[in-house]
Amino acid sequence: MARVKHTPASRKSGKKKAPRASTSTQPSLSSSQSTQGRKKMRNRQGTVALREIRHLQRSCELLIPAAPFIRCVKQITNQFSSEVSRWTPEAVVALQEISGRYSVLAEQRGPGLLWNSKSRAVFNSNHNLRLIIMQRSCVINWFMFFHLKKDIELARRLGGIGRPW
Amino acid sequence: MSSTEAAATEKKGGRGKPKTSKSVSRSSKAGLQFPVGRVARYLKAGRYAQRVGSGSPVYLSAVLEYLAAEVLELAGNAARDNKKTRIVPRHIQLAVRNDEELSKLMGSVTIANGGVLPNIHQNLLPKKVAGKGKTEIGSASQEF
Repeated sequence: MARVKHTPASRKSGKKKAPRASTSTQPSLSSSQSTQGRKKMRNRQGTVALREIRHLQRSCELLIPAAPFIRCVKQITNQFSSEVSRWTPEAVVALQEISGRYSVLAEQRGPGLLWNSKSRAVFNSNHNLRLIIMQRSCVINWFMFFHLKKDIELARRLGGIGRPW
Repeated sequence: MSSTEAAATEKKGGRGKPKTSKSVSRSSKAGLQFPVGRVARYLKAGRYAQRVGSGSPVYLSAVLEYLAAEVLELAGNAARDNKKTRIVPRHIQLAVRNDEELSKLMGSVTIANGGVLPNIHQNLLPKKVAGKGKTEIGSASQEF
């Protein structure tokens, strides 16, 4: 049975609008032209990013997806020892929490140590990460759409954490 | 004979504490909510020293109670600001990180399911153009 679109009946109490004149001065546009003419609303660059920052800083859920993280943990566990292969759920959640916390702190700490530094330095990465640190002030331009290995290594190198670079 | 027995029983009853008296906890004696006896047991079991003084568990219980009360008061204020009647880890995180001394104390502590403080660097915010009216009002309100 074909579906029929039921339009809701107009309210009895409300006044009915006057019918539009069938003959209009402008020629009626076709459906394809009308959709092209109507512009899609777009935000300026950075507006959605700031909205996402506010949303993520307000929330407190785990940002790392659970299933890929568990697979990664199992893979690393298997590399180190074949005997130990089981994890309790509480241990995995704790590890996930600490991993997310560490990544957030590493992002904050990377440019943070170079703030208010007296030396004038410009660091450029090939992959959309630009940190421009001027004398006594920090101007950060983050054009970072996804984290690559080079970006993480650069952040760790700037922060001075992890293995000696 | 009976008089001597009565005297003996009176003497026996006089020695030590009477049986009817209830035991009073050291926490209630000190006016604390944290357990003094349990802290004393932990101090002995931890082998921090061969002997433990009688005042040290009372002092330590008082310190722990003060710290707990401080954190709980700030967390309760944070929960009330968020229009909640139940304290969750997020409220404890907000309470600890907004307080300078507690933040220094718990600098290297991760609170599970706590989140971070809302903070956006000034350079990342969009620049706002100040209107003429605002500048005029600001200039007029300055004292000479």
